[in-house]
Amino acid sequence: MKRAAALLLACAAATAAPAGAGLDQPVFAHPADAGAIRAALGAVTRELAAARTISGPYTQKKFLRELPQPLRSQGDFLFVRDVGVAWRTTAPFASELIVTRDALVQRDAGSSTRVGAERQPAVRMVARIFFAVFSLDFAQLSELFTLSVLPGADGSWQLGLTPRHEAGTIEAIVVGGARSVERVQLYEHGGDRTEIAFRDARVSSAAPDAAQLARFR
Amino acid sequence: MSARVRLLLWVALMTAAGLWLWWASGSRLQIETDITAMLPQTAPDAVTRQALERVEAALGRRSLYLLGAADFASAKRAAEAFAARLREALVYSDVTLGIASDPAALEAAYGAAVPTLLADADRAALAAGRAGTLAEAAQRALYAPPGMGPAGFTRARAFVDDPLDLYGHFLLQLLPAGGRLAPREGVLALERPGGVDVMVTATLRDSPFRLAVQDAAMAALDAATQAARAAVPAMTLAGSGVLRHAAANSERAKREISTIGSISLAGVLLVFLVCFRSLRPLLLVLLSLGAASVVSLATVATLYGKVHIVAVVFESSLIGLAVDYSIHFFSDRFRERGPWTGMDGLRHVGVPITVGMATTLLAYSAFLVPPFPGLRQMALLSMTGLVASYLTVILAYPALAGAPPPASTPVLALRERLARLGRPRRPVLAGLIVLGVLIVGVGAARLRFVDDVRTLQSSPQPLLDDERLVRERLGGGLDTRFFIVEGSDREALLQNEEKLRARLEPLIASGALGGYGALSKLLPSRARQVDDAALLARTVYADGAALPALYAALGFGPGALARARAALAAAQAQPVDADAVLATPAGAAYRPLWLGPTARGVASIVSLSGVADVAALNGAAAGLPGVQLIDRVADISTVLAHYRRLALLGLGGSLCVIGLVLLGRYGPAGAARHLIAPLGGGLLTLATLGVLGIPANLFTVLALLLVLGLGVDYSVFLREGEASRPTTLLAISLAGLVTLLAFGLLAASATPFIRSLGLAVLLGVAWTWLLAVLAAAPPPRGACQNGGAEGSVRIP
Repeated sequence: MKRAAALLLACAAATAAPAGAGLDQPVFAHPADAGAIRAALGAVTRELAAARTISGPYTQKKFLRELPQPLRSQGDFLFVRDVGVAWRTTAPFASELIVTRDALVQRDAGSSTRVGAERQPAVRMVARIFFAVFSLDFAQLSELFTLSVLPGADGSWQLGLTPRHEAGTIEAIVVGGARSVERVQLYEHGGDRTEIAFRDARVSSAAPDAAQLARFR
Repeated sequence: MSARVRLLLWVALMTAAGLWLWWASGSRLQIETDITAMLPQTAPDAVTRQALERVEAALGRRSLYLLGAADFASAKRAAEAFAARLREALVYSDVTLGIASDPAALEAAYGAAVPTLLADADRAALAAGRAGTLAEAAQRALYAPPGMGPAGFTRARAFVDDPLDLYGHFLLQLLPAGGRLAPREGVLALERPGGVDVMVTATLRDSPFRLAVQDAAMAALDAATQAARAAVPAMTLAGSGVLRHAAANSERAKREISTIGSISLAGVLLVFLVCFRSLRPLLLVLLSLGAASVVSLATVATLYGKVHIVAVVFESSLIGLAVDYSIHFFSDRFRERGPWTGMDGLRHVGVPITVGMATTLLAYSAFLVPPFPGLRQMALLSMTGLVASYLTVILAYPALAGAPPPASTPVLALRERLARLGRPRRPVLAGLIVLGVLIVGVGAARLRFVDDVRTLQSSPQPLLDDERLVRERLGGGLDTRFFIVEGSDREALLQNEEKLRARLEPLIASGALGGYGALSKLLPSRARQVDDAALLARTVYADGAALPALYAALGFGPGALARARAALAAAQAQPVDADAVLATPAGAAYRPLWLGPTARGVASIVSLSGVADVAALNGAAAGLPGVQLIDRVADISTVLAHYRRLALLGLGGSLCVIGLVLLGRYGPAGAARHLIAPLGGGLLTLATLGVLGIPANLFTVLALLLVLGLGVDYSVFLREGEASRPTTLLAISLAGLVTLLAFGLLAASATPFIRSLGLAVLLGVAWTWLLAVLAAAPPPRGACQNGGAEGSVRIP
């Protein structure tokens, strides 16, 4: 009943004003603390907590306000605990984004742009959010976000994240999955939205190999 | 006048002065501890003065503290405990843990004008025809994870509202340059190797140079530090701000006043006990010193309301002069072994000390002439203190002197030894003169004056280290230099700022400047807004320009472009509402830069950080209307140099006055002979500093003022007390000893300007005593008594 009402509300809000749609997702009607979430997501949390690397392909759909069709892109990613995330776009054009604690580096055809944390402290925040979402680090997540959780019948779950403090463009994040993180939906202030789907993510507790580490240099 | 009547008169005068001081200190007496308050106003006009006051109020009252711990949560807990305890203290008007930032409020305040707001870099790119590059970057950012790419995480508005993210770049430019602090969980945090710092900003309600403010603020700071340590035992604290420096400096000055004051008092007491073998002279000296303090403080409190701490330090050195009169009075007891009363003493020493005091007073009055509040206060404190101790000797001593015992054997022996001091034989004297001339010559050639205010006021090293640490961690703090920008109205002011900024940007690029804060970053002038709108219309919104192409490539319908163009047209017609923008939390950081209406229109400040090249800054202001660079440190140093020269002139004036008085009383030869001690003492003191390579400054010259007074006393006492020369010699030797005791300690002060003062008096007393004794010494056997100094050298 409650869920139906929330859904209805979400639909009404979505048609009336696109902005604020993120917070109307049903998952946000179920606030939870880190302990409750760990209980609900016990299995996946344990698995991810032991992970040293996570990698796999992704597809991304970007929904821009007033644009009827989403912008699609795809590529692959590599998360190495305590090192960073390498996010490679292969289509529509080749590009790679390296996020570490100390810098953002974007490499395009022939050019490289680096934004250092010493000049732009927001880089650290970006990195922290990125890492916490990937590894479902609830200690970090609950420090950064108000959490809510919606368990599904088939062992799947949805995690709702709303920033505790002003966090740039992010209004809300919904993370969904079963045995690992399968979808991330990111709602921006102003009504733009991004959906990222992960398939066949490989979770490994082995140390990263030299080739993997080389991507961060 | 009988001794009793004199005493009654003195009691009446002192009671009046005491009541006066009690009233004055209750209602208005304040101790001023800011060294710059002693100096005259350096600002050329009222507008600049207002700006200086504003800057000093904004910066001087604010302190920054970095509370560090190994992890963020601990650092935050420590900072919260620290801030909570500081907030309890009424002396702080504001204690904040973070910067309030509310992007939605700022966007609402800009309202329809948002599409015209451009960052400097974007304006340059558009003007250079690189709109396509911006569009390409914006398009690429769409395929990167949201808010994550280098071009993406500044985005503040939805893509369709601001496709090129121009507003996001504009907001980025508003952040303080080079700031390493990032908002994290509502506080400002700084990650560094080995830990995290959380910043707390504390603003005082009143000037940190007020002693009452210092006491309350430092007590609260200690309590807050303990509270933070109780919350997180391993926390570290580093701070920056005027408060702790001011408190440390006045604490040190107070400590030195009490140690130097008490040790010099102890010296005085010892001399009295040994020489006079009675408690009575000692108590009377204390009485005369007390009277001097009460009267001088009452006068200054009445005339100024504030007494500068430097003047108080200077006055404590006045013990040296005040004690001269007492010692001279009591030494008169040693003239003969028979019965002696206070009235006898007065009859013998009344004239010398009256002449000595009058000459010193006249000499000091030369320092009342220049419009220098500090100099005037010191001269006034000294003159009134001298008068009071003189009156105590003249009025109270005869009745209170009692019947002191005759001289003890060691004192008699000392007196006999001094009495046998004759003029050295001719070759020796000639040698001494050559030596003196040599010292003066070499010293004069090597003497340097250093007037930099930073060398006169130093803080304890740990505080300076702390300050440097905070600056390093924050990546540069605010500079003491800044620009004042003026305009006939706000629009003209903002346009002038924009012209200045166009010259500052290249300095940042070349590393001559770290960054700057300017109102026009937040509030573009109307002219700039209109220009930017035209630039945008031409290079971004026009048919065939960047935006139509971008929208088409992404698949937006024709309505999106039409709406964007309409928004730009509306923005062009909508001036930025300055008051609304300044009223937002983001505007709060810019409000202190706005000085508001002045006599000439309106004014603002452009603050600077990380200045590496001052000459380049001067060049940036050159030729711009309504822009001036303010360099307070250089200004104060210039003023110090100016007043050092003025004080030297005053000293010369004093010498002339003394010369005239001596001429009137003793004739040309006598005047020349009695000028040897005051004039030679001063010259040799400066020369000795030169020979030793110690730089002189304003305070050295002020010390010479005191040396001058001593020289006059010694000469006049010796001349007027010629009938009992051995006793007078004994008296001035004892007095010189007491002064040396007091000033030997001042030379050990950790405060550079007090040290300068002390060292100069130390040297001055020694030279003056030597010269006075030499000049007054009888020629060896049968020579002329009244010959001038030069003449006596020639006598066989």
